[in-house]
Amino acid sequence: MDSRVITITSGKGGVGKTTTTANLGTALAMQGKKVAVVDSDIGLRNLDAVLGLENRIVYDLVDVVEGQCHLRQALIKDKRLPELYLLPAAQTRDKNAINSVQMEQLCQQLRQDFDYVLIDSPAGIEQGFRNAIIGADEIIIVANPEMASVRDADRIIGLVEAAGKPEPRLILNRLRAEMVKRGDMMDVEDVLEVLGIDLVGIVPEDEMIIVAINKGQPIVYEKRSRAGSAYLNAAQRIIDNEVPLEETEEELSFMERLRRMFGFGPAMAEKRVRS
Amino acid sequence: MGIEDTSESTISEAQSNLEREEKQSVQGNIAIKGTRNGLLLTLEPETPFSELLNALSYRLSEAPGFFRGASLALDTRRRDLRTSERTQLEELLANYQMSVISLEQTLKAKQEELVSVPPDIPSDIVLMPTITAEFQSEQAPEQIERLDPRDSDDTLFLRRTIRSGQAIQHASNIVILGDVNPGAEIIASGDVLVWGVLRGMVHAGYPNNESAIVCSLLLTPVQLRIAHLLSRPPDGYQVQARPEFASIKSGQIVVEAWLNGHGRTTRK
Repeated sequence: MDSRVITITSGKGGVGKTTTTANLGTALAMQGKKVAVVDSDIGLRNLDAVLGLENRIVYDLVDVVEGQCHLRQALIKDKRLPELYLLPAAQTRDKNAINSVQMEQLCQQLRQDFDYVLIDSPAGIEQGFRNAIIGADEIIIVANPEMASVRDADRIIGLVEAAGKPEPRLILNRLRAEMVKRGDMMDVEDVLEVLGIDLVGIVPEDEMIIVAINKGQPIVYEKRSRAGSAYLNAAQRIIDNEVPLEETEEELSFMERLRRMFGFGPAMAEKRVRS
Repeated sequence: MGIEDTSESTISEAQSNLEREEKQSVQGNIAIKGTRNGLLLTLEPETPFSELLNALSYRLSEAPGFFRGASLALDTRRRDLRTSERTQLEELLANYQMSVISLEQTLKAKQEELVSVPPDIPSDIVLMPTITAEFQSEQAPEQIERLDPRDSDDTLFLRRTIRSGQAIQHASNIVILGDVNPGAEIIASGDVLVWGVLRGMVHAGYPNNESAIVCSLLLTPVQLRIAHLLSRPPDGYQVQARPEFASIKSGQIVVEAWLNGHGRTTRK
């Protein structure tokens, strides 16, 4: 099976790139895929903490690129899933510690051992961003339904296309259905109208995510979390592009909400996993 | 030791070669011709202005005595200068006590000159709009639309969405089949027609063509400029879900429905 290198980026900071990377990586590994998640946010590393692996870091991405260690030594095995690995960023260096050529070589190397390589991009459009997308087959843009984020996403789409990469896809993160209903927040249609790209997933705003990040445990483990099930569905769509988008993420039926309240779990996601 | 010596001499040779090459390429961008009415400066239309300025500065420094006090006519037929560029040029020339005469003043004289043109200026110079599609440096080269002004048509046609951070500049009309998103910039000396939603900034009739119009299927620009005028939607403005066009009427930018007859502006 040929492996896929997917970069998760956004332009704007704080929209949920790292959370998305951690959860998509975990969700893909739950499906039995061999996954490497790479933190390319050198100097501001966070992916390790979100996955709860910060205390296991010995070597990092810059060490690998500079030849201080083998790639295998720097890859940290996840504590829950045997097929999930993390390549952490260096915290004491900056974005200029590596160049695009080195990053591309690193992606090629990772490709040999993994089904999916997910790269967590830094915010911004400078060298760090360019390094993050250089070796990618696909780009996933994370945006929040608000103007600043959508405009930055639009800028990123232009840059990704200019770099000769295929059209990126979108994860719309932190959607608040009740605000949309009141007309106080851009809805999915508004965002897609401006950006004109395909959706991979819609992730609702969820307080449990903050708890999950603090615990270092991705939200996809949380059966009752709507954000968690949204990420599981998005991972399904990454594996098989044919899975249709469900509107339930935005407007859950009363029955569905009732079922989740009593802890029967995200039915949609489970159905998909089996099929 | 012997090996080191050879390598050093090779390096210095290569360097001087490099310098020579650089000099040639630098000088290729500008041409100064002596004519009956003084000096005529021609600027290459495709080269960035800063490079042209460097080339000129280099040329002047080669023979400061020759150029001192001379008056220089600027040939703007192939490349026109912006005000800021002109100021920079004048500053440079002032160092040599030189002055710029505009082409208009010497146009008559130049008609005569054209009869006896130097070999490297084509004798069939025609007034052609300069086309530049300027993109950010991070754009890959294959994405940059480099249109040769000589074999392009008047109007620039783009069939894609113009996204945030992308800037399109053109010396004539621009037609876009797609949207213009917030953060994008469209600057045309003629009309701008957007067959899509216009959300970015558009400047039609740049810098002073007051007959220019802007039209789009949905007109919701951040800012709209025509010629020297600038306007923005009034606060709390409700976007009209209909095609609209903007033009200058009695000294103001006016937006109207783009319906039967309304769009048929009389143009000369």
